[in-house]
Amino acid sequence: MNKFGFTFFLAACGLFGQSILSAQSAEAIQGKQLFNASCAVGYCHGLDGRAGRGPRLRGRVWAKSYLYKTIEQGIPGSSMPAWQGRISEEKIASVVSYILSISKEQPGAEGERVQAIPSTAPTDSPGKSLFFDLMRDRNCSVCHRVSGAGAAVAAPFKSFQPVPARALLAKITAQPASGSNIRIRLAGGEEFCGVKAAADSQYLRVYDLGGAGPPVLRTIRKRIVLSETPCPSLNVHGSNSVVYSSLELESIADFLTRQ
Amino acid sequence: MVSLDPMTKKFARHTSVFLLAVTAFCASTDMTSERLIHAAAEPQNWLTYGGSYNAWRYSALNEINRDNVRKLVPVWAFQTGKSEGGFSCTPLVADGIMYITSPGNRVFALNAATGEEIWHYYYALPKTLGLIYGPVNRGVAIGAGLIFMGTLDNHLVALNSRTGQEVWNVDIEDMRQCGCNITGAPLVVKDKVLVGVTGGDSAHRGYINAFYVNTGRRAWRFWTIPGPHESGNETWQSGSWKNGGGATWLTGSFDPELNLIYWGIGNPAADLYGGARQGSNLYTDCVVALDADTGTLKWQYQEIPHDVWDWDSAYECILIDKVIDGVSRKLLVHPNKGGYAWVLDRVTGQFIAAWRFGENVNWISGIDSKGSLLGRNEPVKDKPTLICPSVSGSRSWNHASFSPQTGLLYTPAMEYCDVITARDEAPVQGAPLFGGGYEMKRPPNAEAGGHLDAYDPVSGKRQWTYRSKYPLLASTLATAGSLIFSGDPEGHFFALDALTGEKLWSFSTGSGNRGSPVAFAVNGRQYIAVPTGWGSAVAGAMPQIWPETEDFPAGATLFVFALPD
Repeated sequence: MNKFGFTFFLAACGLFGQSILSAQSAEAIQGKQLFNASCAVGYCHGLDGRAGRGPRLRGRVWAKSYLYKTIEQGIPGSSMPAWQGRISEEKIASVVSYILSISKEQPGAEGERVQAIPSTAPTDSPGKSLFFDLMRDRNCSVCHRVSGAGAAVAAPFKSFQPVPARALLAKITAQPASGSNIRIRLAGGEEFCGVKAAADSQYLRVYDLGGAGPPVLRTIRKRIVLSETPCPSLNVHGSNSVVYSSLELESIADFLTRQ
Repeated sequence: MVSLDPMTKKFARHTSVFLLAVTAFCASTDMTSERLIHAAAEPQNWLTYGGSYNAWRYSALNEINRDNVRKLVPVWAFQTGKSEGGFSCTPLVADGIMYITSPGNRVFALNAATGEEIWHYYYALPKTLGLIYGPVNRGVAIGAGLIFMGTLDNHLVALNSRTGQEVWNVDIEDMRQCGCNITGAPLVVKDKVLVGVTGGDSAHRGYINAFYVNTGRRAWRFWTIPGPHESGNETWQSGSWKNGGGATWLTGSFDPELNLIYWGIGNPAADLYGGARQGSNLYTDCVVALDADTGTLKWQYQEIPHDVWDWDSAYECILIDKVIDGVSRKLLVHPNKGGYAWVLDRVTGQFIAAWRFGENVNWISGIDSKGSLLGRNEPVKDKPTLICPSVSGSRSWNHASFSPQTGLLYTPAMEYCDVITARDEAPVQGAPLFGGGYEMKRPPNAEAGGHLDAYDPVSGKRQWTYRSKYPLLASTLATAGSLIFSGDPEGHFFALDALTGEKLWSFSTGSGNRGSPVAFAVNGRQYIAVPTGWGSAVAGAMPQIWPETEDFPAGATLFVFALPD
């Protein structure tokens, strides 16, 4: 069957096929609950796939493989997130099943109401909340990235050995022997300590850690840099005994070892 | 008009580019806070998001006026190449250079007379965004030789206005953790640049940040929800303040004489279910007045205590002065998604009046003379309830304008409703927290559609109405030519008579209008610019009522119009 014929066949199914909501599988019914809790939220695909910021899903024809790919991997550069790893494969399958079940309906068809909505997102751990705690200006995440979240001022955590929390705690509180901590003096009198990020023949890129807020990645012309010297006084980790209590640091260490 | 031969024209064009480049260089060192404060004295420019700090979106230029607007023709166009989400920016114009943004955080500096690109900056976005906000951007701010833009991954960047090169970049809060980002335009005030954040439909606690323009270091931060032991925290059921929303996703205003910044604060989260956040939920749905130097709260006025409709109060704060009962008052007029505009004394935050611009409103029966809401009609947990207007509001974010020439306020509006079912959802930091679902419905006893109206800004008396088949999602522009410019979802960019609402001119741009038109002049010639390109959450949901709008084409074109040479 040529492409036109295939499209026509599917369209005909849509036009003449009766609503199959009443015959939805248990899997599709579970998928509907998940869909309306996760995919219809806010301004996304709309209740029962009626459209929002995301496109209308009901009443259209979808390839099963496309649905799996899009739900699992998301659409890069768009608002569509990747759900793989966030919800189970079974749940993704149920959402696919549900979307396929409404793909033969016409827009505007009434759907049954969903009453009970399960939560699909993982629960935050105390250590994770502390790691990203925005109420602390020098929380871990303003410099460190873990599992793809947080800033990249410091080198990202590459691997996590299952070490005892207290051992990791000792590492956290120790001053890192980093050669990238520098003190910059600029023409005009400005002077600050930071972490060197990159440099070329004309520009220096440095994370300015001199303010109270988050580090600022500054691009500075080398010709206005009067001096660039080590900054041993830049003791970010040493101050963490003030930012976090010992118990909180243990909690963070526990979170990190689980990554 | 003098006729030039082709070579002379080419030379003149190149000379013009050179002169503009020189002008741009001068501007980059010359865009002082004084110039921004007195922006109205430079009608040839459009220096801030609202045109001036009072958010009038008014141009004193009158070369193009109601007598000659029928002759208006396009003189150049520019393609950004990014159409997803709609072309929603407000172009800025400074000394012959235009600065625009596209979805996906692209910035372009253009010769404002010819459309030729001077530089562009494409922000390096993470491969995966996956946020429920975005990917739109509403524009940049300019000041101290820099161009400022908030990003879809919640950074604020400062660019050299002459070259487009990044000067500083600050990561405000990790978007993967907070589920928030920046789509609104920043606002430069003296030596600081202020920027808000989305996140009002997520488990997030909102804020406004101010950074020093020269270094990017944070100067102050205003939390939109008071923390523990702060006054106002008691208006939140235990623990709910942490995830209570209060986004600041649009751009505020500034009164230099009072040294106050005014910013609209968004809805509480969960949007549609308030059972887990009992209390009035300060400072959500408030207008806040902050000391421009310190960010200290001077006053707040809560329009909607304990919002359960997703009304937001995030829209523009229009600052006007007017004599009321023989006394000159400094006023703030604030249209709200719920279909009412509040009028406040901007010195004290005192309530003066509220008037209705939405025609289908059933979430309250009215507002009394003290500002109290009457007859609240709230969504019900697990039970469908008809609420008018829809969660998209009686108006979207696209802005109103005020003309000192006519003394009238011009705002678009839209008419449709929702059947809302509220739900009790467990908050997870950074994850959506909407508290229910909705299905769009036509109003029970009226036509669905849109309109653009002229009002007395204090009494709310309507002077005229322009009807539209579809909701109007473009901002308005008022000019001293006694004109109101705006556009519609079908792509018509049009001019109305500011006194009568009569349509005087229209141009088919080929894609729906979602952005904000501006007026400017170069070498004494007036231009009107409008971003065109259909998209956004509200536009995306319109097929629920108007199925044909699903096929409305996207776009990414900036059109610029002028009178013929």
